[in-house]
This record gives sequence, C-alpha cells and structure tokens, in this order.
Amino acid sequence: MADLVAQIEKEITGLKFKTQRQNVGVVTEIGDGVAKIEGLSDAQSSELLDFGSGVSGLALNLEQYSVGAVIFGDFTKIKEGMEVKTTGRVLEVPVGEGLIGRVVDGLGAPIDGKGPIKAKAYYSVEKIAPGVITRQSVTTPLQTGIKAIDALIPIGRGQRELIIGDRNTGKTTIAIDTIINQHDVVCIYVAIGQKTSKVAQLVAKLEEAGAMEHTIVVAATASDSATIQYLAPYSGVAMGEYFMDQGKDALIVYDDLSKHAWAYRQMSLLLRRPSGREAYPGDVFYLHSRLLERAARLNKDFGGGSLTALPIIETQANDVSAYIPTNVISITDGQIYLESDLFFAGVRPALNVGISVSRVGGAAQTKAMKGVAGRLKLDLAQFRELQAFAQFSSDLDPQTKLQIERGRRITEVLKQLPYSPVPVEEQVVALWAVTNGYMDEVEVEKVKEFENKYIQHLKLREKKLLSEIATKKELDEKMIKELEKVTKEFVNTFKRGSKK
Amino acid sequence: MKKLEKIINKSIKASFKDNRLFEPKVVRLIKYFKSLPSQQSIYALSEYLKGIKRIERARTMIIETSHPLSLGQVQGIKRIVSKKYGINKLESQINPNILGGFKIKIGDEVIDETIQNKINQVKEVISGRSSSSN
Repeated sequence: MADLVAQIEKEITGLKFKTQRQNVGVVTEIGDGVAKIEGLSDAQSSELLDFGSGVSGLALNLEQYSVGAVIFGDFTKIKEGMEVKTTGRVLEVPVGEGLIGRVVDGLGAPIDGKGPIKAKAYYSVEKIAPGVITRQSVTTPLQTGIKAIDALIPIGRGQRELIIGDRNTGKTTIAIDTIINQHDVVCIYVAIGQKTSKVAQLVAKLEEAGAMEHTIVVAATASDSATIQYLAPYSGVAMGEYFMDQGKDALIVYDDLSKHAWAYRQMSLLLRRPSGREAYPGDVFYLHSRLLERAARLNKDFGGGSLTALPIIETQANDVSAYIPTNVISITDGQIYLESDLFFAGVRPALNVGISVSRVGGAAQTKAMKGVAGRLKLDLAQFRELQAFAQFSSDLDPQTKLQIERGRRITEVLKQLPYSPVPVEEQVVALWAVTNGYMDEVEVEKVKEFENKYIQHLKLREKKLLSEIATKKELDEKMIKELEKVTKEFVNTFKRGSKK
Repeated sequence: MKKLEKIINKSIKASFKDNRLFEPKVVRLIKYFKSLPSQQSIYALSEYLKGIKRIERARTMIIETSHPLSLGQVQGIKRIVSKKYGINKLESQINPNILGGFKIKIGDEVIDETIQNKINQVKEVISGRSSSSN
C-alpha cells in the first residue's frame, strides 16, 4: 500500500500542468448514434471527440460550420446543447500479449469478466497499410488442417483469402478449424453483428479445443451499436499488426464483412452522406480495401512478421455478383466458395473446388503437398467433366469408369468432420494413397473407414516415416518406396478384414 | 435556393461595420427578408440569425471564475486576449464548480486554467494510460 502511494506521489510530482486550449462545439442534433455538432472549427477528420461523462465520438463529416460525428457508447446520455471538446487524438486500442486468451469489445475493453487487460502499447485504429518496400512475397504456408483447402486452395502467411457462401454452409466452421489448427500463430477472431449467443458458443468451442491460448476474440455483436460494429475490424487488425511488428505471424478472421458493410451503410445514411448502389455509400469499396490491405508479409529488414486475413462474406441465394461480394472478391487473393447444394449432399466442408481459387498460396505449399496436389487437381478436374455421364456407368469404357470411381473416392477423402483439423503429413499420405489408386478397390462407402484405419496404422507402425514427411516437408523416392510397401500390405489386410 | 443562400451570406457580412453589429442595417435586412414568400422568409430569417449569432459568438469573450473578478482584473484579461482575438463583448460568469482559476471562452476556443481541469489531469495520470507508458 505504501508502495502504491509512493509511486503515485512520484508520478504526480513529475507532472507538468498544461494550460489546455480546447476547441468546443455544441450538440445541435442527436439520434441513432450520430450527432451533429455546431462549432468545433479545429476538428480534424476522424479525430476523437469528448462528449463528457465518459462518452466519446469520432468526427467524420466536416462541414463549414458544423461537424457530423458518430458516438461510441451510450448515446442516450447525450442531450441537445451539450458541450463537445476535441481531444487532438485519434482513436486507439490496447495491443499486446496481454490480450491473448481474452474476449474484448470493439474498442478493446474486456467483456469476459477476467479483469483488466495489461496493454503493451496503444495502436491507432486507422493506419496506413505497410508500403511496397516493407513487403515480401508469400512463401510460408498457413496450414488450415482442412484437406481440401491445404491441397487445392493453399493459403500462405500474409495472404487474404475470402470465405464466401450462403448462410449455414460452414463458413465460420472453416475459420474456427483454421484457428484450432494453429500453434505458432496468434489468431484474432472478429465477430461483427453476430448473435451474442453464437459468439459465446464459439468461445466455448475454442476453449474446449485449447485454442483460446493463442486467440483474441473481438466481439461487436448485434446488440452493439452500428458504430462499434463498424470499428471492430479495425481494432482487431490493429491488435494483429502489433504481433506482425514483433516479427510474429498472426491470423485475423473477419466474420463477417457483409454485416460490416451494413453497419457502415447505416452510419453513412444517418450522417446524410449520399448513397449509391444498394444504398451503400460511395466509399464502401475503400472501407474494405484499406482494411484488407493491412494484411501483409513483412520482409526480413522489417522483422519478417505476417498478418493473414480470412474475411468472410455471406451471400444471399448464392449471388456472388452482388455489390459487396464482388468488391471483396476483387480485393482478396482468392476465395473459398461454399455451396449449400454440396452441403446438403453431404460434402462437408461444402467447398466447391472448381471455382475456389488461391492466387498466391501455391508458392507457399510444401513440396510434399505440391507433389500430391498436382495429381489431385487433375483427377478432380477430369472427374467433374465426366460426372454428367456417371449415370450411364454400364455403357462406359473402363478408362472413364476408373476416372469416375477415382473422383468419387477423392471427394470422399476430402470430406472431414468439423473441429478436427488434420496435420499435414497425414493429409499428404491420405491424398497420396487415393491419387495412386490404392483406394480404387475399396467401396465408396468404406473409403472414410479405410482412410481412418490407414492413418491409424501408419501412426502406430510407421511413426518415423510420418515424422520424416513432417520435418523434411517433401516426399523423396526412398520415402515413396517405403510408403508403397506399407500401403500395399495395409490394403491386403483391410480387404481380408472387410470380407470377414 | 442557392441564390437565396448567397444573399443571406452577403447580408450577414454587410450587417457588421467596423467589427460591430450595425443595427440600422440589420433592421433593414430583416424587413427585406420578411417581404419574401413565407417559406423562403422563414428559412432566410433563421439562417440569417444563425449567421449573426455565429459571428457575435466568435467576438464575445466569456470569463468563467469561481469568485467575482474586479473591473481591473477583467480589463487586464481583455487587454491580453485582444492581442490575439478581436473582441467586442465581454461576459463574466461565476461557477463555483471549477474551484479556482479561470476559463476563457471565445467562440469555439476554450482556454482552461481551472483547478478542476488540473485535478482531472492528475486523475488521468493516475488512472489512465500515461501511467502504463511511464
């Protein structure tokens, strides 16, 4: 106690009082989180305003004699005629390792009841993205633990990969799986406009999987005001940038940006900004581009950190040509496309591998994965072409029939349960086995069982081989020969076992 | 409407002579605005008054203190402030809540030298962010 007093005393004695010159204005209009303030002649764009009684705001519209501002916090406390001061600061959020494992709101304040957050620093919410000379191309993979993504739509560290699909197609699940599969990457999950119950469920799921130890959850739920929802992704990315600046790798998930655009639309319309297509304001493209540009991979001179972004967009009735989806598709480095038809057909994750792409991730794939993925892509493409003929299977030549059967088995192998990411080496051997025809003789219904037992078998008997693939990250000829031998043996025992 | 706005802006400027409100001119202008069609008239009058008030406010100095100041003190403050701002109206307010010191308000600008403000600064240092960065 005496210590504390001494410390406070020391701080106070060193304090130099400033004569404060403030710029003030008067609230003339107020409503729905937006205020019009007369005066404030010195206010800067996106400067933090002090409404008194702990409520702050952001100056957005600067007019000749008045300022349009959005309010953070309880705007019902603010009345017409109240005095507003400028602060000379821009909005900042706490960043640092102290946030890991916590759930915070859109302004970085804790909402999980685990006490105050020890911040290392405060980062400005709006920041210009890293420039050209600080960047480096994407070369390291970010393993999602989802076979279909790691093999066919690989994601690299520093990439921006869009997850797009209708409601209930498993978009969030893919993001959560990816977070669960990370070990050395700090993950930030930004929930925008979601149900509070859903966020609570998600946090419970992450805790159960032990993933909260490297995750920050920024929650701006549907009950928060549109202004907080608008701000949350920028707060989240500022927290991620801290880890990137420290030379670490970070991953940020924005769930989802369509609701973010809605929140921004509401704010803009209330601020009486002119509206454009679908009533979105003119700068809705810049809204997302400046956010996603902040995902980057820095080069060695700047610490070599990275920030990978996984934005999520929810489409209405599979319409990817709507305004916001096309905008975000054009900003990102590829998209993962999820379809409800596939989801109901039992293909889960419901990835449409035909139209999903990753524009930069290929360079980041490990050699082992590249080896099996090339073959896989080809087989799948041929399968899709022939799928239409699959119904007349009796009249087909053996070559075509084989292609179709192979395709079916590949699709089966690519299926995966939620919240159960698969390590790379297991992915590689499973995909290797199916593309090399070792599963051709297994019935389609039994492929999953075969795969599970096969992996189990390898884990038990050939642990050395698996760990070698994991560390060397490639399949050389010696390894392939060994794998061939083991797989052949296993196929025989499996056949015998299933006949009984 | 654009034209009317131009007229209003011009008349606001014309209402001042040597930085002071020129009353005969104001009376004449208000008469003119009253003669307009009613819808325009209401708009013009309200905008005109807002404009006049805005300019008046920028030239009014409000001194807020906890205790009444002597005339000499007030004149002294005025002399110093006049070097930087054009002032032609003086108001003083008594507000015991500021505890001591003074607060000067000219238009949008506030110069805060009150005890209350200093206490707030100390409060910020103890509870706020600057303590964690030190």
